[in-house]
Amino acid sequence: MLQENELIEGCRKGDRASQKALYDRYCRKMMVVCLRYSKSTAEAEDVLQEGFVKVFQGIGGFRGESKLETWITRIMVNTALNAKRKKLYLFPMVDIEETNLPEEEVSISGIHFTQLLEMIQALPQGCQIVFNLFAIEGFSHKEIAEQLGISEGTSKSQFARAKSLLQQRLLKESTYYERYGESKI
Amino acid sequence: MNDMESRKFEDAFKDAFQEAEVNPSDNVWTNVELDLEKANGGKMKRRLLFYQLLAAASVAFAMSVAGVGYFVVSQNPTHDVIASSDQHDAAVSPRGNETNSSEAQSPVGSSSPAKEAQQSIASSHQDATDNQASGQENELEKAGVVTDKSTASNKIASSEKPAGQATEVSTTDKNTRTVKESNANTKKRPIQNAGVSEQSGDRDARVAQQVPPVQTTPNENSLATNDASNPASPVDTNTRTNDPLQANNDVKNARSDSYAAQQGSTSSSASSSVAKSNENQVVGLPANDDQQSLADASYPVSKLAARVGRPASFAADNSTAEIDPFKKMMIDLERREKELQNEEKKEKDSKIDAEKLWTSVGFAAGGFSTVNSSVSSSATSLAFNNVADQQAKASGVAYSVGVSVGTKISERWVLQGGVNYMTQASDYTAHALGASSDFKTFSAPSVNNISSADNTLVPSASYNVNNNAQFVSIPVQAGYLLVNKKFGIQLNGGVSTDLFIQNTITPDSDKLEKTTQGRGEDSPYRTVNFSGLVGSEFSYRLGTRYRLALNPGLRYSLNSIYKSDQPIEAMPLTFDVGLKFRYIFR
Repeated sequence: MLQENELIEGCRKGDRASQKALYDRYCRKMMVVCLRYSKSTAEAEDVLQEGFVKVFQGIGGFRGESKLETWITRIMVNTALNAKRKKLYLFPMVDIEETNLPEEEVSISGIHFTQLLEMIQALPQGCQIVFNLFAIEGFSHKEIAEQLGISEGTSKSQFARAKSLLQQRLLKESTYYERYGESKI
Repeated sequence: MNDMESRKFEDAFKDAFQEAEVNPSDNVWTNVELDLEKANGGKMKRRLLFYQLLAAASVAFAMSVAGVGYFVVSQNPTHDVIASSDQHDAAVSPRGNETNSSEAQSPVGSSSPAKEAQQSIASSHQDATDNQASGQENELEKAGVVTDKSTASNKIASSEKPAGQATEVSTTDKNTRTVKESNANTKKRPIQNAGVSEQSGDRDARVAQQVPPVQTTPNENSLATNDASNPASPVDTNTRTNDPLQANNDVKNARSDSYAAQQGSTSSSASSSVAKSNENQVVGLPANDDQQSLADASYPVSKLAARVGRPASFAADNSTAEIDPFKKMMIDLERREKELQNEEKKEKDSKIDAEKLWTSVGFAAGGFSTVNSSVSSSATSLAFNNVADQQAKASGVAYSVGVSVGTKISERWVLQGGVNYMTQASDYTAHALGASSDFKTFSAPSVNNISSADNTLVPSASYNVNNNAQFVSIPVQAGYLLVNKKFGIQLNGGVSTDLFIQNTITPDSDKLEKTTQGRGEDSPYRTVNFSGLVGSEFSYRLGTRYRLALNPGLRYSLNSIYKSDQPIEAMPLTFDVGLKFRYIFR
């Protein structure tokens, strides 16, 4: 198994085998990243494809200041955002008071990530992106606002709404579980 | 505390996806490979195209120089001037010059590139002229000196064009017609036979008939197509202008790396495929094949919750229907997307229209021939007449190099000015030596020195003499933009102030001295000369700030380069092709 440095060097030279090896190493994790920002598997695969093309074309500029996985994740996120950037200005402004947050936080322990993925994909477009950027990528609302060209207030509203919807959904799931017991797999 | 508790929710999500993996389909890698191959092929294609264009420009330039040289040589066959003194007496009068010019001229085409080009161009010239042209030639021969100004101007204009241009493709209909006309009118007539002076009205005819060496249209179309098919997608452009997000120290460092990666991206195929996200589809559990891939995914099966079994419902929650303007948003999104595409297209077009100020550096090469040359009947001696006549009717090659500045004064009009260093070099055959009074120093005879009482002309065997005049030229031109896109066509016209620097006479002999004549009261050369300029410019925009241009043009002296008190008059007519590299400020 090739070391990461060897892989990077091979990719810089355009060696197809190195590129395939790099792709195989990171494609599954990056697919999850793309699924989080997309509405369907097909859309996620498109973003993944475009993202990896950008990775291989831009790997000459990778200076090793961060981990390769982090760098590739950043490219995937930006690629996903680029496709949606034109539509992001239409975030409806929602006051936080209207989000109807549940009184108690619902736990997500025991819920598989694929179920969480589906819940995230079901969110409205703007909420989905802001939730991913804030909750999972860890950016601040100010940074999200700059990146997306929206106000910080909009970012916060979108996240609050996303959180509210997710919690409602989780609550519904837990209620269903309690009512109907173990579901058949 | 509330913040910490709220962060628990986010952190829980973050942890859930920490080690999550999903297998993509095999098509993804195949498509990545294809895109990479396409990108590499595109680079090669662009490189090939560039070299093809460079080769085409070089061939066009060489053919034009060769054509001019061939024309000049065919106009000026070598003859023994001293032996034909009787004819030369008749040639002193202006009419006489016209009839005997073909005998009096020295072979200017002695320069080797012109000679070699003659042979290659001769055959193409033959192809270019049809029966109609040859018939016209015969008529002209019978007619003798042409006195009709309009006909003469057409002949002068067409005869100046290199024969090689007859086979070149023009890009506009107007040029196509003029190519056909020039083919019909091209003939081997010496300019001196016209017997009329060129004025500005005739120059307009030459502008209309000018057929510059044009690159083939398909290449240019493919250039435009290539550029259109491989633009930085609007999405990518936006990416470049935004800073990547920063989460922690590790992520912060990825910012510059990801920026570099974004700049390298050229693929736009995914943009259209990503646009599939516009579909308002209900996302349920992944399709069967995807579900299979999910099952194969290398995630910890032990955490599979019981609740996974129930199909997830992704229908919009009724309770949120009032708040969620999703459907309305989708309709608005599509409308807005179209508006943004139109805006981007307008922005792109405006970038091309917005070339308001630029500077360029260029060089040009071509040939010149002296029109309306004459030696005054007041010349003192036959020997002087011989030398003066040869110098006056000099034809040869011209080079210039310089810088210029241009600005757009309206949507279609531009103004250009600059400074060029220009040389005009010609060769003639001398049959005498200029000897000093003590007969110790010998030099080639020229207008510069033979009028001096200290010099005596001594007959000698024939030898070659190179006559090189150097000028600083300050042109001012107005240009009209016929085509103002990535590929541009511009018609130029203007005036140039040519400041004479010096004239160097170099005999082709080690025993003879080179003579140099500067400007000043003692110089026979006029210090300030004026020339009319007409030409065209074919340019191609490279990137956002550069343009490469090909400039064929004509320069006609509005006054003799010799002072009015000199018994000799010469007004060079220069045709050259230039290459300019332009930098656009804004």
